[in-house]
Amino acid sequence: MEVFVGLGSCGIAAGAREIYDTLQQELSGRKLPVSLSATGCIGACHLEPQIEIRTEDGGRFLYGELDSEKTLKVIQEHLIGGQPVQEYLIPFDYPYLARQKKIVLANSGVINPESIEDYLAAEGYTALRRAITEMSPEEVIEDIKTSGLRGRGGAGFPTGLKWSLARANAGAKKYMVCNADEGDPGAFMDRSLLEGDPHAVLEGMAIGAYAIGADEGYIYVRAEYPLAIKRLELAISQAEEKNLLGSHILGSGFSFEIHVKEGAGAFVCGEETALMASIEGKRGMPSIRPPFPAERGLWGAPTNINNVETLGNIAPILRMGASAYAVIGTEKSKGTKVFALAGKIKHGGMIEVPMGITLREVIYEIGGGIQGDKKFKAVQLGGPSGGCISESLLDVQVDYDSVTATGAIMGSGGMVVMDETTCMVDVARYFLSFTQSESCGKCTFCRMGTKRMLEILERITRGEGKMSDLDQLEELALKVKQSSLCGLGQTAPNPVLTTLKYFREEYIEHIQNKACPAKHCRELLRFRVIQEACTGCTLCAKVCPTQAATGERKAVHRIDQTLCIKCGLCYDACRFNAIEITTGEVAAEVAATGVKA
Amino acid sequence: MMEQRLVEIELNGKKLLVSPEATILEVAQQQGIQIPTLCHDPRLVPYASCWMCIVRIPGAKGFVPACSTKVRQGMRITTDDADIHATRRMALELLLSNHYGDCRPPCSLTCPSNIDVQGYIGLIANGRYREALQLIKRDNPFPVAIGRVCPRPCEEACRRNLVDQPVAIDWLKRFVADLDLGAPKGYDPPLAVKTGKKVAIVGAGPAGLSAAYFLVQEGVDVTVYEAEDKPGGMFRYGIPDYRLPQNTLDREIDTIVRLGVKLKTGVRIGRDVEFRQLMDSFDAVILAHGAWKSRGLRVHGEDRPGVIAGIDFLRDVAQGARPELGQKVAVIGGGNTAIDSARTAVRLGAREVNLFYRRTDVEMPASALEVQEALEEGVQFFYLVAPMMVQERGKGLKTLRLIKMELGEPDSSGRRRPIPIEGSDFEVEVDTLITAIGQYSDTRFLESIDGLIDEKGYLVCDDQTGRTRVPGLFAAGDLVTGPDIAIRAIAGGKHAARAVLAYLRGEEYRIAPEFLSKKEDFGKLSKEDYADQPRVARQKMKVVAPAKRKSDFKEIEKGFSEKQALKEAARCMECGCQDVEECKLKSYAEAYGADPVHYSGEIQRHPIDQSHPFISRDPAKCILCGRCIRICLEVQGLGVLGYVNRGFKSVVTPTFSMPFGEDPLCISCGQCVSACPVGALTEKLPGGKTVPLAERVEEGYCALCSVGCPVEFRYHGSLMTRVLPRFQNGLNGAGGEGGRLCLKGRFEHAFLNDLQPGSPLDGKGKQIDWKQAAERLAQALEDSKKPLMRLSPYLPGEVLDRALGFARDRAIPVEAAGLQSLNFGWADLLDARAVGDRGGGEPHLLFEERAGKRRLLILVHGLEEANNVAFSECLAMARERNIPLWHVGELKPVYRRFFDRCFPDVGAVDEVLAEARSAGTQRVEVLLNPEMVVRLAGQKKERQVLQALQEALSGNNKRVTGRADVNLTLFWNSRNAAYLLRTLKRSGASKSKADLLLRVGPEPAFHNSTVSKPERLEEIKTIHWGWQADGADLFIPLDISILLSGYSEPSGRSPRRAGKPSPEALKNLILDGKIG
Repeated sequence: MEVFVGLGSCGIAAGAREIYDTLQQELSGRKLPVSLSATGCIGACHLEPQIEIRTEDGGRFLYGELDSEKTLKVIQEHLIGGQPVQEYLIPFDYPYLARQKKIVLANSGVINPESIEDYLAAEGYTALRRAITEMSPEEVIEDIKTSGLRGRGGAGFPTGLKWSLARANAGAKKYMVCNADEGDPGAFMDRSLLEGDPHAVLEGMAIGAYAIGADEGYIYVRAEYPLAIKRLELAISQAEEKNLLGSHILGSGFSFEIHVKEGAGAFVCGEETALMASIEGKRGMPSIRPPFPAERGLWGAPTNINNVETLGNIAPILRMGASAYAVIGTEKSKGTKVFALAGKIKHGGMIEVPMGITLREVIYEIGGGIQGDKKFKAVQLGGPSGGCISESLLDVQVDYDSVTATGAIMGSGGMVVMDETTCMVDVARYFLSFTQSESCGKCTFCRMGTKRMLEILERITRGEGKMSDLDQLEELALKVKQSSLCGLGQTAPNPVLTTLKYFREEYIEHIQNKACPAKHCRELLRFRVIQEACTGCTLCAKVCPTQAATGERKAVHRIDQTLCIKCGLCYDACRFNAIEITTGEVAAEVAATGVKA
Repeated sequence: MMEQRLVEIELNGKKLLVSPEATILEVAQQQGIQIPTLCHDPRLVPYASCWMCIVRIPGAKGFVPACSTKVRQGMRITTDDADIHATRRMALELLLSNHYGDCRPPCSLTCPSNIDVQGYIGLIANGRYREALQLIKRDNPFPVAIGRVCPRPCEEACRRNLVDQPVAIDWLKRFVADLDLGAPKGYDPPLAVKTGKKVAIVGAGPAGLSAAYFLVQEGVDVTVYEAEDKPGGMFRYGIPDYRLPQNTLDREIDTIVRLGVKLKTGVRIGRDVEFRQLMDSFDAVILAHGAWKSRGLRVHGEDRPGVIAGIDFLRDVAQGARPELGQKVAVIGGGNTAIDSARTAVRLGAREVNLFYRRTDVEMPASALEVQEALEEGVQFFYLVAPMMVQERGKGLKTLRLIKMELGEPDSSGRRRPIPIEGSDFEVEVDTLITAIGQYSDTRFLESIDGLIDEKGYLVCDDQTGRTRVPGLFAAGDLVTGPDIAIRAIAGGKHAARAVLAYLRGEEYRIAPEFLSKKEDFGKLSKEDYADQPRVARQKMKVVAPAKRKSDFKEIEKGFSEKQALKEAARCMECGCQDVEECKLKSYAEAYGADPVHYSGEIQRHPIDQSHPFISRDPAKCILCGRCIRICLEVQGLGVLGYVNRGFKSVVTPTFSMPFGEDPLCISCGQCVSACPVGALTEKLPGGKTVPLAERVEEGYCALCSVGCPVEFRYHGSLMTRVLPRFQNGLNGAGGEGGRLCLKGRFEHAFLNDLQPGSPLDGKGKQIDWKQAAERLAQALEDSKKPLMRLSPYLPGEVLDRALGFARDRAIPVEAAGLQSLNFGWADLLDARAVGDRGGGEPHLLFEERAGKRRLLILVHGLEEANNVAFSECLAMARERNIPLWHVGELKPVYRRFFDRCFPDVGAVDEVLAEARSAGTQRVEVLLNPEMVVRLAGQKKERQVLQALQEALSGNNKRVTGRADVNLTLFWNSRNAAYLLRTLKRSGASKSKADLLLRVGPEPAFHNSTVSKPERLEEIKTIHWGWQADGADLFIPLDISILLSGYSEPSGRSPRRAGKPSPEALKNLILDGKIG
């Protein structure tokens, strides 16, 4: 039997190392005929830590939400006793898993990412071998064109076309770059793939390098991804050892060397010109295109830049055949897309779904719906460059063009679900504060425009907004989009514009009624004690950090509005639902009553 | 020339064929279409950060930056429309919302006549008193009077109030004005050619005479009619002598009248001359007869004897009357007329002077200083009291009934309205009651003209320009404003004069609103904002003690001493922006009507970094265009400045955010300043106090080395303010491409301000005249048995020629300073062309193309110090053309990264050249510092280095390369040095010991230790610019004009500049043949 422990960052964060150690200790202590391996993210991050047990007869058992105690039980009953522990098992027909289609993530959580043998056993590097021994670079590019693969970094530029442009530029020196500077808040697709199947990315890069005529490559990866970096570096040395990278790969005339470049955590370095500047040792600041990287990129040489997930698709395309790949997905968006499903969703995690699936299917079937069965409000796609989509658009298909039509963008795969307790003005404020502080500072509109927009949003969430602010906000948003050099500035207003489009009434509530319908914006809230419900248990008074909540035991308590800092501790502490959060007119009344509430 | 493929584009609807290499911005400029840009600099790679240059191209995602977008076939470009305009305005407003600074200082903005206060205080601080006075007189012809009587709204606005006390602006004005008044020849503004136009002015007060002053300068024939016997108006009759003595005023009025103003006193319009008559006989008329009618108290009994109007009282006293006031005098009112009346009453012997004012001291319009002085003189002040009636008590004694008041709601003037407290009335006894509660103008003589006077008796006119509805009739002063301070009347006169001038040209004068960034736009300033400012007490004005002054009318303020004035002027904090006249942000903000507070929000505050010796850095004004960063990196190859932080917090800082002055990379080339489109990086003025000043441009060449960079000498009056790179042919120019100057050229011309042309010095540093100097020199030559002339290789060509001629005529042997030990074989090598030389039709050495040859550039030791222009030019060229760059000798670590190979040992030259040869280099360019040559020549080991070089260059070193393929270039004034050496070679240099040394030009600094000292007692040196006269028995300066003309060549060769120095200027040279 084999035991695989999901040791992606998600698993480790949930305590998978402990499970691994427990297993190792128990297995070696008992000298069981069981092999123990680490693997990457198994996918259902909400069920971490997970392990998978595979038996000689091909049986696969997935356990989730383990702890040491449960693990011991699994060891005892399953590994020793041969009886699966039903209560901890995750059924394979679990919709979260069943509804996915894994191409890019096929190996993630299945093979040991630190073992090249595992990858080779899973047909790894066969595509590279075939490409360089049996195909011309033009044929490789043709295959990628046929597959219909589009860039997974967000903009959806056809990968085959990109490669052919890079190939067309003459130059003794060319570079193949992998963009692993995944910076969207809430996005972790690239990290999972790099941690779970690093060789797939290397193979994709090597094939791409062969296709465009590059002999040197860079993987620009965030320094915040130490595990991914470690596994990449390990994978590179393993591949070099086997002559799958390096000079004269597999005895052919093709040589390709890969360097890992650690980024310093600037969001804008995901933009290709900034990324190249950063590799060159300069400040990560975008520059104007043309010249495009395919003409003049790294150190002036033609350069091709692909996202991690895009590269993860390359080897599978060559393996399954471009036409077979092109069957998956919609007419203009082929294949699958990996999403990091997060937010107020029941089952969050890394998912890979065929293009064309609807948002409703993703959220309600794969994701299992909203946490606490609260009301769905919006789903945010594309991170800070994306937008918020409202419930009325839940049946929109997930593909590049349909998503773009909503005002959001497909993006690199962040999908954040929001429920009724999420304030959309605050969401816009949050994303804009992110882009504002990550703007490289070069363009006037991006640096200053987003700042002034952010200030307007902050005013509105404080209840100090004016109706004219909405006009100014829209005016600024439009100009920032029109007058910025790079994608960061051009898309930074998207969260504002989409929330203004789909949730305008929420803005108006904040401005006109000084009310936050989601009861989130602190300045617009007042806490009060519901007299009928209060039992005088004194708990609220005990937790209150400012002595705003006071009262005698067994007497109705009260909250001094002049002292209340709206931290919400009393609300959380009260066992009788006797604390009410008010906003708008009611809050104004509460405020007026002051200490007599 | 290869025929270039052109593309067809459409620019604002116009079809054009243009090169595809051009950007939209370049094409538009060629077509005369101005596209605004802040971040673009033609010397730099296009960048696109400011987004001002946006244009519209169908199909593009958003707007397209014109600076960095190249034209393409079929491109349709719109450079301006309503949306583009609005977007540009938005960009400006966004930038302005974080541009924390003052375009102009609050003092100047508060002054009704907008006198350039910061400018003249700065000039005073720099010791330029005449220039300061001229600057004041640009806006105010009465600095003597105003310097005494102005209530100084400027000082109220002075930011120094937030530190300690305001700068004594007015007393500084008085200081330079008094200096001028006392000078043998006072300042007269230049007068334009007579226009033949005639203008009459009614009233010779501050407004009328000011208008006359400004009109007469423009060639207008001005006649001023004055009803009183003497001119001066309120200055004379409203202000007592103890504040402004009439004889002082007379002298100041004379500075106006002497310009050609016709003054007719004792002529009252409407009485002696009909107003109509004026209108008929003159091309235009300005009414400026003031407000001399006193407002009544409107209480019972005010018509009784012993109740007099303050303004009449002051006039009578000014005319010499000494009215009997009795023991007790009461004054009603709170303005300056009231205070002046009270203080005059004290001086006339009144035992008790009480002043009653119906509001409190806070609302009182009189200046605080005057109130203070009145109190010292014994005047008693009673606030919140108003008169009710005056009753006769016999024998001249009267009873004044008063009532107490309290303050109610603010009235239309913004002051709280006084309300009587019922039943609080009381009585005082008085002998004389002086009323001074207000004045108004007599307009009765104008009533016959339709629509000129309104029903209340006020003149109807534009209150800024004084234009009335009668063509050719204007007004100024109190007549327009009502009783107001003198400087406002002066401003009125100035604007009325301009309005008249415009009218005479058939135009209409408008005061164009100026765009201004103000710190106050970002919130009220507080003491915390200036917490770092050192406190320096205000200079005290010497005044006559109260006990002494209260018995006469002598002036009580004594004025500042020069020492005081310099100290006080140094207190100015220089609020106004140095870049105010050149700021592109300001000019675009004006053009696009940007509102600086449209997007107000958080601002980035940074302290001003003054650590750099020549550059002031104010990051709070930075608009993050990145030009300084890029020019430092792309043109100078340095990278001193860079961005730090992200988003709104982005800021440009020196390396590791250290103080600019401590950045080891900075070479003080000034490029960042020249690139900055706003006032974030500005030069410090050489005088010490930096102020923005109008500048005169004198084109010239820097003479501090032989590169001869084209420069602009900027002057304000005789003050050299800046030296800037001069751009020839658009962008190319200065020493190299991109406007390079080195520290010396850019910032070390301050000595021009210290030079006093035409003043030789004796051995003790005392000035002597030219005749004495010539005699002394002649005597010394006569006494000398073995004279020797030592010529400096720094000398400009003309001087060199003349000096050699002088020596030849007198058979004086000549040697070359610092070059004595040099083998004359070097002369031929030194004859190599000077870097930067584009004269004589020859291309720049470094940019000379020799097709097909692999080139190598070797820079030898010390070039970066000796000639940074050439150094950075080499770096740039090597980078641009991919030419290998080697360095031999010591080199600062910061520069090493620019070189392909560095050989720390100077002795390696031989091997280096051999290596170059073996590497197949076909052409070697060697660049070195001549001072190095000289120094090396003195030492054995290093002499070998030179020999190796020499051999290589002369083709004798078989190991290296043929002569034709090696080129040696030297820096310094190498061309003239070569000329000098060749001349000496021909004539045979003297090795004899001298008993008299004539030193022309400076010794090379490094060489002092090896200069042979003449043994004779008397040593005569002649020294030119920049070097001290120390130790010389006779110092004879070269004329500054030679420096301005800059680098030049000895005769026989083509001079590179237009026009030689004037013969007059050269006559100042002692080398001129007139001696001996």
